[in-house]
Amino acid sequence: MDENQKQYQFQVNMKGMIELLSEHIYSSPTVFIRELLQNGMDAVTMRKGIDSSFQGRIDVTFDGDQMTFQDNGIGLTQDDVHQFLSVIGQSSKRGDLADKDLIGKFGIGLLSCLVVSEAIVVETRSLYKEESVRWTGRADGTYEVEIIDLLPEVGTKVILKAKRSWRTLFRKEDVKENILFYGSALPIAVNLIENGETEQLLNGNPVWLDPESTKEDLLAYGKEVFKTRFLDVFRLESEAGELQGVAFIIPNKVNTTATKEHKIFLKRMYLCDQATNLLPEWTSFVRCIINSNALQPTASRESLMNNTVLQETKKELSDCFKNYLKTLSLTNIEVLEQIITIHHMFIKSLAASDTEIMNLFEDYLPFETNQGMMSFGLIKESYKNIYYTPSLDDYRQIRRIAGSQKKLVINAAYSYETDLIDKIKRQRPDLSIEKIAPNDILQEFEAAIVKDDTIDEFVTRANAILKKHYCKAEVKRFEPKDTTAIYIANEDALSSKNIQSLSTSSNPFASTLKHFKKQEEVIPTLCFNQQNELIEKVMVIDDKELFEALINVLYVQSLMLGGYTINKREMDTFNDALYQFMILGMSSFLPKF
Amino acid sequence: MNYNLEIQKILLKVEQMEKFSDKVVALKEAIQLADQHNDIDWGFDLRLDLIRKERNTSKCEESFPAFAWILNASDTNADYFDESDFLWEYKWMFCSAYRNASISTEQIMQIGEDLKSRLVKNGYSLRAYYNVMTGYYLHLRDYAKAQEYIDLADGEVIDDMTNCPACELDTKVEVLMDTGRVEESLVKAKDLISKKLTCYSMPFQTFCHFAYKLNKIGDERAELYFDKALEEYYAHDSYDSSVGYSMSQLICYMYEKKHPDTWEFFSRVCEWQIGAEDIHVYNFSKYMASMLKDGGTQALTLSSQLPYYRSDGIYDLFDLYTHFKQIAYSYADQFDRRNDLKGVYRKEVDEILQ
Repeated sequence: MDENQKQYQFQVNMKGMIELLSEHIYSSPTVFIRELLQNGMDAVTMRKGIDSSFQGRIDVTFDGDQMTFQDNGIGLTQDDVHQFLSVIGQSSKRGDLADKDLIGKFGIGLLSCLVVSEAIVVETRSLYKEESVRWTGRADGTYEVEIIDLLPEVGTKVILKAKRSWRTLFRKEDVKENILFYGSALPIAVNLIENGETEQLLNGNPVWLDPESTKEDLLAYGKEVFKTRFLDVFRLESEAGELQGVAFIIPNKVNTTATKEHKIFLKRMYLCDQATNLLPEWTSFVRCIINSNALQPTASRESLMNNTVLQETKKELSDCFKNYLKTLSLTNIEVLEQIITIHHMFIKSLAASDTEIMNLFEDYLPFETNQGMMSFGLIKESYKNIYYTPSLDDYRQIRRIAGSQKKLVINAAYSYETDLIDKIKRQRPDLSIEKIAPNDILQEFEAAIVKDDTIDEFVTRANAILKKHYCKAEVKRFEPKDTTAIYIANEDALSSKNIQSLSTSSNPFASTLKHFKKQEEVIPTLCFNQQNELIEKVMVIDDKELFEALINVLYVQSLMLGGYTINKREMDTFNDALYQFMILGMSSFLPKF
Repeated sequence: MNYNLEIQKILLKVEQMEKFSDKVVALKEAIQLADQHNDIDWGFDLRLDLIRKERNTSKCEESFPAFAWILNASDTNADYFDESDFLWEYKWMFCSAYRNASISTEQIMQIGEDLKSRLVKNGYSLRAYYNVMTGYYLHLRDYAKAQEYIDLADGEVIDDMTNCPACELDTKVEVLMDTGRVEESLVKAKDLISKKLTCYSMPFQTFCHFAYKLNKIGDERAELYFDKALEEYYAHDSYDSSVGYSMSQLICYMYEKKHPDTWEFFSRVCEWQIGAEDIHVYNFSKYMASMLKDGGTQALTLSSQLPYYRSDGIYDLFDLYTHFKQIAYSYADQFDRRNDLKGVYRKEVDEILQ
């Protein structure tokens, strides 16, 4: 290095650092409880690494605004204190053990105490050395280290004195609540000591991790945690994520976009309530409590890192869900039916991508039909021919007409439905499942009785008038007799009609719209009912103007009956026709001169 | 029930739906109700909403007629609607126009000129117009002209209609990368790489492009950008089909590196091709054909709506290659014809299949 050059050390503004932690990294000042629990737990884990029979313990003592967190873990030597408590960003968790068993990782945890306390006093006695050390760190970035009288037992005490604004966080009840929130799964006994009285808070064996717990125990625990009386519960396991947990079935319909609250623990320490990326999308109908020893947290320890282990874990969790549903189909049909009734949307989504699940649950899956909601089992039992339509427009039209035809039509307009029906159709060639469009129903109407050229001539004359409405005429016989005509247009035809009418506008998009027409030939049909008395008479009317007015009125009336959009041009035509009728009607009553 | 309530009920349903394609179906139902009652206010708002939702898919089937209706409603009811409400969507529509091989160059230009005049009429700078024209010339593979429009855009002020800074920078970076100026491109992309500039799809799309292009020239940094792309992909929970182009590049990279999730990604993106815009189908087919030419068999979970769906779930990859190759050439010829490019797109397919 050049003589003129000097090397300087970066300076850290501790006050700024504390602000950074409290305002940007940690979402709540209560995280200091989590960090203290974590440090205590890690110290005990390290001591257990030496003596596996060792019983760890954390005592929290309250004395006014002062709180002492004491563990009987491995403790720190004076060197450790200088190295690990005084160098920010350097974790004391070392070696293989650190990667595998310890919770802390980033070496910034203790700083969170400075959010709520002006100073941190750490008194510690190491398992390796017969000496005790006191370290005092302050928010202004200074610290002191001194040798003190030998503490009676190995371990570490962290003494905090509440800042005025955070005194409430040091009250026993608040601390208890936060210990239970963050550390309810920790495998360690935690005691709260105040005025000489001791309350044991945790026994290190939470119900949801205990393999001996019954379903009733788990459901009772679920109710206590989530305040919900769940429908059922099952266990979750993943080798990749070294994960164990439980999933509770929500007893009511779930909004897909609502936040899904879970409880995610990492190495038994609470991490977050969101399992983003961990659970498959179709599992929205459960709430989970999960502990993983292999997934990685982000630096703030408030969410999971999305990496290959998480992706592998997600796959294994997906299998747990499938296995649960499969088992249920053999052991408890009643619960399965309840789940499918409430959460069919998610089960359908799963079935659409998983043939095995589809085969298992086919009969239970409910579908919207023109006869109301029906399970597929009931549909196939009651109807020889099953029809479906992947278009909502088509379904709305068919629903109106199909009832009189005694047809069963499934609405398969939304996600998974079409895929699912299509899959069932391929898997079950023994069933008659057909896609249907409104025009198909038209084809099934009884043919008109042809005696002479009247019908042909009528159709030709009507077509000449209907052409301007982008429609064609047909004559059939159908029920009820008092219906004069039915307007039928499948989705493509309606879209073509819409495009046709917009094509006449003057903007530069108008000329491009023809490229979006799906099929040039599909145009809507106005089907006249030969059985209707009025239609019989219209067919033989010679007067050109009267005939045109009648066809126009029948056309717009059928649009109204069918709930179709009536554009301005159609409305004008309708009004003109009515005007003509009024003139004609009045002419018989006018005074004769 | 009052139709207003019915429309509001549908809108609530739309909010709860997860898939954009489902939202489009439900919004069409609401539009029908509005039209049935000649309610142009609802008709206008619902159609804008539909365009915004369809924008998140690889399709543009409903947006074109919807936008034509909006323009018509606005032009025939002068001063009733504010044009600023739909000029942003107009930019999307211009892009959709050139992505459709059936729409002529003359029609594209007319739409561009109309957009330009409406931007000026409403007091906006021409930066937004230059943004979309840059995209158009990139589509024509005319990089010199695209650069010209980038420079023109840079000379204009930024306003509410201009592309977001992340997208503008990505375009510049892409031009540099595609014209072989790799180092320049990587340096230019620093604000995207450091995530100083982000938007819905950036820097994911930038990273995908880098991973694919760098890998093609044997540059080891491809792996770094692939990792970054994957990190973005997972961090965003689930990207929708609007990022189909980038996903195709990502899948190609994954296939070459034998990434375990290749076929899962492939299956997902295949579904996006149902009813997709011509340019999306072209790009996907081109990239997938290049990847599948080695053949083999593969178990895949594909949508039964796809023309090559097999109920046994076992796919002959050479059959898929043949299918995608035919589609890629067919669209290449259509675009070449429309763009009067004398085989530029066909050559692009030839080269990628070599």
